[in-house]
Amino acid sequence: MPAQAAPAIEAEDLVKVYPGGETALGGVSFAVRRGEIFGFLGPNGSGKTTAVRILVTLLRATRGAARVAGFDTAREAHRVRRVIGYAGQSVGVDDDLTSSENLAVTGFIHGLRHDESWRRTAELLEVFSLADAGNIRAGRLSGGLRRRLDLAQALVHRPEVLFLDEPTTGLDPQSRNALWDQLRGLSRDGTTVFLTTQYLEEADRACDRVAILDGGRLVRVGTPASLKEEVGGGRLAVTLRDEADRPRATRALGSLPGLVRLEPGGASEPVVAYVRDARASAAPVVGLLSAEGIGVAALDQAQASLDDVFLRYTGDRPRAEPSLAGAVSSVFAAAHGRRRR
Amino acid sequence: MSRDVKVNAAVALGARNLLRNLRTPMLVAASLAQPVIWLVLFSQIFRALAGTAAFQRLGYQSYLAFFVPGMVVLSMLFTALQSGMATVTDIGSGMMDKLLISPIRRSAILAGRVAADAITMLARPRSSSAWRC
Repeated sequence: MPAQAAPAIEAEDLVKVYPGGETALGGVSFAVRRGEIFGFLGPNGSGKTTAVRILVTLLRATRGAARVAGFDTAREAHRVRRVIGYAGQSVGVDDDLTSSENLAVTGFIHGLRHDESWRRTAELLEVFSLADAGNIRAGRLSGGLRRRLDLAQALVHRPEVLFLDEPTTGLDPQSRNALWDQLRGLSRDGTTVFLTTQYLEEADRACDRVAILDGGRLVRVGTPASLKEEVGGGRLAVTLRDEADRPRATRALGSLPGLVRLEPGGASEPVVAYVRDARASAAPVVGLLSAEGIGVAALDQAQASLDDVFLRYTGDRPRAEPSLAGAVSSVFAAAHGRRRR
Repeated sequence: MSRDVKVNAAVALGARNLLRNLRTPMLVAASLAQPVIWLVLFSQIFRALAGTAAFQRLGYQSYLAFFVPGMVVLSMLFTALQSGMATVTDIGSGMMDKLLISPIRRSAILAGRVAADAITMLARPRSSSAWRC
C-alpha cells in the first residue's frame, strides 16, 4: 500500500523514443505533491503530451520510471487506472449519446453501481452548468459545452489524481474562470491536478507550481513567483530616442543596481532590463542614461510575468508542430501501448 | 424502482455501441435496405441464370436460394466494416483513450463492440427474409 506522504506523481529520468527515432522525452524527473495543482508548460512539440500519456498509462516509457499515487505506471497500470481521471486534448465524448448518457456510461466503466452512477451524473451536470443539456446529444452541443462535458467525465469516479491536457482550450473566458475555480476546489479537497496549458497567465494564477519543458527536457520547476524572481521580479522597457545610442545605453544599464538580466533588443525594439524591483530601479535607469547624454523616448515598467519566464528558458522562436508521422505513431502507440517498452 | 446493481462494463459498452448505431438514421436505413436492394437487383438481373443447365447442375432450385447465403456474408462484411470505422472514430475522438485508461479489461471493449454488432447483423438478414415472404 503506498504511503500517504509519498508524492502523488513521481517521474524518474523518463525517456521516450518513438519507433521512428524521434526523442520526445530526454530524461525528465519531477515530483508532484498530493493536493497540488501542477502546471506543465512548454512550446509545441516539447513533449508535454507524451509525458502525460506515459503518466496515464497510455504509453510506456522507453526508459525511466513513473509512479502515480505510489503505483508504477508500467507494472501496476491497472491500479493507476483506478485512481486517475483524464481529459485529453481531443474532446473525448460520444456525440451520439446525450450528456447524461455519456456521464453514466463513464461511471459504469469506472465501476460505479447503476444508481450511484446516475446520481453522480445529476450532480456533475449541476456542477458544470450542464443541467439543461442533460438530454441533448453531445454532438449538438457547442464546443465549450462539449469540453465541459469532457471534464465532467474525468471526474465521475472522484479520482485522486486528475490529468488534464490543455483543458481550457476552446473555452470562453467565463468558462475558463469557472473551470479554474472548480480545479482549485478539487485541490482544496485533496485531489492532485496535473495539467498542461498554453495560457501562461492562467497557470500563473492557478498553479501551485509549474514545470517548463523544452525539447523533451525539463528546464525549470518552481512556484510561479520564484520563477519570476529568477528572471527578475520587474521589467523595465526603455525606448531610445536615437537608435544609434543602443550600444552605449546597453553598456550604461549594465551597471544598474538590482539588475538580473539585460536584453539589448533589435532595431526599433526597446532595451529591456529585468530587475528585482521595477519601481526602485526606474529612477536609476533615467539617471544612468541621462549621465551618458542618451535620450529616452519612453520608459515602461511592469512586473515580470510567466511569459517572460517561459521565453527566457525556451527562446522566442516559434516551434514546428510535431510531424504527421509522429502523430500517427502516437495513435498507434496508444492502441498498442501495452506491447511497447 | 432502485436498481443498485453493478453494471458489467461489456454490457454498458455494448448498449452504448448499439445506441450509437440506432441513433444514426442513415446507418440504420442503409443496414436494413441494403440487403433488400441487393436481393431485388441481383435476383431480377440474374433470374434467367436459374434456367440454364449449368446452374441446375449445381443443385439449386432457384437463383435466390443460390444468392442469399452470399448476400448474408456480404452483409456481415459490411457490418464489420462499419464496426471498424466506428473504432477508428473512437480513436480519433479521444474516446478510445478514455476506455484504455479506465480500469476495465481490454476484452470488455471488444466484447461490447461484438455484442452490438451481432445484434445489428441479426437484424439484417431478417429484413431480407421479410422481403422474401
